[in-house]
Amino acid sequence: MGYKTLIGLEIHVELMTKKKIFCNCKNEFGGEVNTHVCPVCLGLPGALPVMDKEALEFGIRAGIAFNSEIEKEVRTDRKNYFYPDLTKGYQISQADLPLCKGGHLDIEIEDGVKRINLERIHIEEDTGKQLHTEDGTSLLDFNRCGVPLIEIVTKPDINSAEEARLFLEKLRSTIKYIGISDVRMEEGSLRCDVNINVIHDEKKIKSRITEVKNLNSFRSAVKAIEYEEKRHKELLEKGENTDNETRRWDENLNETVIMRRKFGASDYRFANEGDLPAIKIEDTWLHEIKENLPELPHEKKVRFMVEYSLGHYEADVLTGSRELAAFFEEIYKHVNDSKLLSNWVMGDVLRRLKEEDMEIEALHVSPKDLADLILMVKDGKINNNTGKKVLRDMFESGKSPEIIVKEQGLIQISDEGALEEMVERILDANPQSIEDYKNGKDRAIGFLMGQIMKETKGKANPQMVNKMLLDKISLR
Amino acid sequence: MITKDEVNHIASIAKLKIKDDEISLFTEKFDQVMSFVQKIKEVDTENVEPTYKINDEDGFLKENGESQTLTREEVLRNTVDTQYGYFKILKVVE
Repeated sequence: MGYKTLIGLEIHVELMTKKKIFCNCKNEFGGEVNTHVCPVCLGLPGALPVMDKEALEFGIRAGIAFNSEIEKEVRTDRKNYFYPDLTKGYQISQADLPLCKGGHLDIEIEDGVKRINLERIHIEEDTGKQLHTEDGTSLLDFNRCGVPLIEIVTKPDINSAEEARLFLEKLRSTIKYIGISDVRMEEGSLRCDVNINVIHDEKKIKSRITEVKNLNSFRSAVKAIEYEEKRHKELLEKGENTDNETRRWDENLNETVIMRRKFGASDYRFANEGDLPAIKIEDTWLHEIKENLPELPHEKKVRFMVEYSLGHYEADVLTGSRELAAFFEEIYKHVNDSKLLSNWVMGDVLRRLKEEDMEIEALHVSPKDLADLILMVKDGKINNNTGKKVLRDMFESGKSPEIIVKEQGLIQISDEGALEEMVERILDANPQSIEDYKNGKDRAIGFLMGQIMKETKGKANPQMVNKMLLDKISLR
Repeated sequence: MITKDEVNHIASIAKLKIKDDEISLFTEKFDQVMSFVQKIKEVDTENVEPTYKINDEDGFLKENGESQTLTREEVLRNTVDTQYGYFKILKVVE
């Protein structure tokens, strides 16, 4: 069997509420330094926190989306530590009673669906931001201090870097779906820490858990996991072991570097946050939040499979983002042929997005124009290859397919008389090909087809020409 | 009994510097606290719901309230050093 890797993730998500979690300062990324700051943010004497309704609602939405059990009463705790990013000397967080208990998220791996279970989701405040300068000083901006966060903690159910990547992508798209965060890793609204160790069942050995921080992209998470997997195995093979420590990913060195000994839970000396009395979550409110939640990715996927008779994989890809799913459904209103439509979207459209590394929202082509194009192909006005060419043109110019087809004279020739005349002429000019075909060389048909396409500049209806060629040859 | 190492550990996470000759002072005091906690632990709490709050008031949530946001000048007023609108401090290595 060899080694098995156990990975648990801790994901911090900044909630895009209007206000901060415990005060009424504006929650905004990129504001002027230290201008969204009040006595609560700074922990000035006498300042009292009050929990934000929208922040709590967003946390509950996450719990529902990830199938967690929502606590009936919300309590908060002080997590004590001394670091300049929090002037109070503690972070208001949740210790033994998180807002959401358990939960899960399913990912599509090669062998099928794999369930990744969650430990918990809790709410807390974000800290201020530090900039470290070359001359040994740090600059502090407290605009971020008090921005609402949820921390999602998984069970160690993830067994590879690839699974971690799939999980993070699914998690990001789910959070985007429910509209609680813009989940931009580069702006820090999604941050991820990795807990990793390896075990060997037969040899009965396991490494100690390492925590890796400072992962700024899914790619660095993948690379850090691969690096740690290797480091843990190598140490065990040498008869040594890892330490319980916190490391950070160094993008330049392409390796993890030790930061400090891992803080244990007791080192934080959690204590009840006496400034915030417990808040009851009424059933009616919970019900209201559930009702108003948009269709979740897995619900949408199942609906796509039923409504549009799509397979697991197609439905999964097409519901990958709310925007892509909406794009598909908008075209479907005009095209009404899900198989044909999914081929176009999953083939040419997604390939284009991938090549250009862009999201569907940035596409120049409107659903209506793509629908028109697909219908032109379906109705035989242009053939499939021409259709793909027109689509490429649409991506570039943003013009409608009618205009492109008209401008370039691409209408497919389906005029039986004209094609028949052409087929006869080509056959007359190529007796050798007829001979070859009759001797079993099927490729000869391809050659003849090529001649006709050359003459028509690719506009001949291929199905009609093919049938005519076969019919006429059999008569000769 | 609280050990010297435990005192040092607690001092380090509290970012406090304790001189060697002060340690016995803390081991003694911590021991007193611990024995008090031991006393509390003697109470039988089987089938007793945990007490999370000492009054029956429920908390409330804020919605659309007035902001108390300060000007940057007010924010920085009590600090020793600033730069570009930031608080400027000596770098703390974690």
